[in-house]
Amino acid sequence: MTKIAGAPELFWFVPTSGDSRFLGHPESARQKDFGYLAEVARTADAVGFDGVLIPTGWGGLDAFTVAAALAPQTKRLKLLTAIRPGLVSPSAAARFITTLDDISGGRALFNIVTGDRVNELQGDGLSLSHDDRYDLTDEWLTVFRGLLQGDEVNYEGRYVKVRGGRHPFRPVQKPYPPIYFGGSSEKAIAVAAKHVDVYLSWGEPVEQLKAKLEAVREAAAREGRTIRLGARFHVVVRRTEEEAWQAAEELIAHADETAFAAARAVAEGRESVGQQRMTALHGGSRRREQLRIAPHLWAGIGLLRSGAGTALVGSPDQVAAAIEEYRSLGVETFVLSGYPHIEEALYTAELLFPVLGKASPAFTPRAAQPQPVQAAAAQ
Amino acid sequence: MEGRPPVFAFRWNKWRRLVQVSASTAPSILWFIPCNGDRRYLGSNRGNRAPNYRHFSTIARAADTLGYDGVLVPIGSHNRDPWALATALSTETERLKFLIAVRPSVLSPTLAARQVATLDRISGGRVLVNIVAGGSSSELAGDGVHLEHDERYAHADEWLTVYRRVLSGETVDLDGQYVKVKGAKLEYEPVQSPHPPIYFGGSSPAGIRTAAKHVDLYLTWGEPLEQVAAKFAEVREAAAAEGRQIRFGVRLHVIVRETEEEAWEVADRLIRDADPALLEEARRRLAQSDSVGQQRMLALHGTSKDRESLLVGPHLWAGIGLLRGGAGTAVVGNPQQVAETLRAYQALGADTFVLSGYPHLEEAYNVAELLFPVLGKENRLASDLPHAWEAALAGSFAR
Repeated sequence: MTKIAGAPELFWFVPTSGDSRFLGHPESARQKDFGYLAEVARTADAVGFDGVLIPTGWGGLDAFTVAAALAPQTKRLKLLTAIRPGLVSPSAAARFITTLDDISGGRALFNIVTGDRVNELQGDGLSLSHDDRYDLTDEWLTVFRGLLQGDEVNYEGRYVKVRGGRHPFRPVQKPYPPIYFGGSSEKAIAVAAKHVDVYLSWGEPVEQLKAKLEAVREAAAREGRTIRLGARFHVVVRRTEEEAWQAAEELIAHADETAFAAARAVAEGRESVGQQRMTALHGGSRRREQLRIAPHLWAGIGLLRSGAGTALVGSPDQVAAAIEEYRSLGVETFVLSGYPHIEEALYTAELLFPVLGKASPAFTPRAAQPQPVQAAAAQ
Repeated sequence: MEGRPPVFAFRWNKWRRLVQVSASTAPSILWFIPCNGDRRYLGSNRGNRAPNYRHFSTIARAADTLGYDGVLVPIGSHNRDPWALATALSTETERLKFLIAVRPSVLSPTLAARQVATLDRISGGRVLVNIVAGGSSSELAGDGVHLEHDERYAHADEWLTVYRRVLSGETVDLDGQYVKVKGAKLEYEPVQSPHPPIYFGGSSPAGIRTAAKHVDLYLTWGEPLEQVAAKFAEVREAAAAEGRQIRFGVRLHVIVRETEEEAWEVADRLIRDADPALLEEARRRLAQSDSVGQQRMLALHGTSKDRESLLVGPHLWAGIGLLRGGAGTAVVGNPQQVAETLRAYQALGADTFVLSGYPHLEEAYNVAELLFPVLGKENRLASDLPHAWEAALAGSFAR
């Protein structure tokens, strides 16, 4: 395996829809409370993650609001805030992100999520088809980027019509905070190619992801652009491989049939190619061998959670090797998470960061600590 | 307060009769976050302050410490985003409420409901929502909103219908002209039940109709008493026709000093450096707004900086409106005079004042120190410590 120079960019996750020790297990669920989310974010900040993803969706606390509340409570953490273009005007979004960039001292990021849950989209007043939604995202991003660059924007699209649009403030990050994006369909990739800075994919097996990322890179090249790549995984890292697999498999061991059925229904209600690809990885099977879709990639989470459904599982060296393999495809950013999110943030920083060559302010390597004997001798 | 005349206000009783009640209880006093930047003078390049978060945070924390009931966080295309600001500020304050301006035309009612419920939970029930449907057509066109004046209120009506019902826990279908939702609902509740109070500003007939149906508190910019009395009566009547009661509030600037002369000097100085060309330009721009409230503000003054011509009521000065859109009047005077002016609005039914002054940090202190005691409101920072310190100092000199 080729070792990529430098450490990857590692983000953690703010579980705005709720956290638990086991999936499909209400007894171990934690309050969907901002105080708890702030603890998760402060933990991620303290142990040295580069940022956190704050997701969107009906079940969770609102991403914008959580991001703005976390900004004064964190120091280094970037706040990757999910936004659905159809629900807010590009001008209002530009004012929000620029203000968040000011509040946080240049730590604001948007993750553009066009949305795939049909019932939620209709409830939010968006009744467009899958492809039309991406047309809207395309128009929205055109205006949004224009405003952030300081242009006067006049735009007559099918969904977005702006006359004399202006945004008076320049963000702290220049020319504007990098735009992240998720979406696996052909249409989505075409929009990403035109507009975005970082393309995020849920964590698929290496071969599958390789083909997808090549398609993204080629589409971007046709637009004369380059795009950075990121991947979204759960992670279960322990001192030994055995412990890690035990912890992973226990995550889904306490769920009852209704929990599996409910998760299946949610996944089926999502009109997204990415979700179809995630579901296909486990195919509904709960057999241990079938869920281990690569030596250190496990699809079990997808049985009980829609969206990102795979986990990297193993010893620190094994998980790091898996990450290096994805890095060799060009993935620079990893958005990680684990249940429960405070404890797993600590495990990940303590065990995985050193192997990846990533510094953690909370877990300084022993060699770097001052030796008491030498310190005494120096006096 | 010796020599203070008895004060009365009118309220609807449960049989919908107008009854006189004592208004001796102190009003709610909100302060203001200047989201497009703060300044010491209007129409001048001196003493302007950048619209950055550290400064807003200082103002909000001062207002919280001094005992203001809340702050208005306004909206506009030249402003910082009020939602992001108020949310961040809520984590740095303890008691302060946030009256956050929301423009219905730029986001979906369900997203707004999720944001409001989330912030109400984060802040422990300190959210107030100020619905601002109006503004200038050209500004809204830049936001991608192409609705004529009355259409904006028709949109706000549908928007508020979905927003209020979703926050109250209902599942909503609406096939409106502007808002179409199916199965809209909220999966977690706000702290305040059924939802955080809705404040509203809008002076046109369409605005008043929307207010009557949906809102909890009607805010007006500080027009002269007779005009405010007529407006409140109209709103009260429209609300009664909907079987509802509405509270009232007034948005004013305030310049209070220990003596009347000092206060007027500060008022004069506020606009002294603005040159006549700038005043003409400001008037020309403001005249283009299709907001009825804005036209009522503009009608109060010409372009003269002369003190007499700007005096539009006892201690009510229209000088700020020469150079600032929106709220353009200030109450100017010593503490007693300012308090009397506010009590006159209280007598018309107002129980809430949204005040501000340039620069906003220093004036927050002036108002709390000078005006709060006269209004029967606690300045929470007030202390008798200086006396003790002087006594100790005197003791040390004696030694």
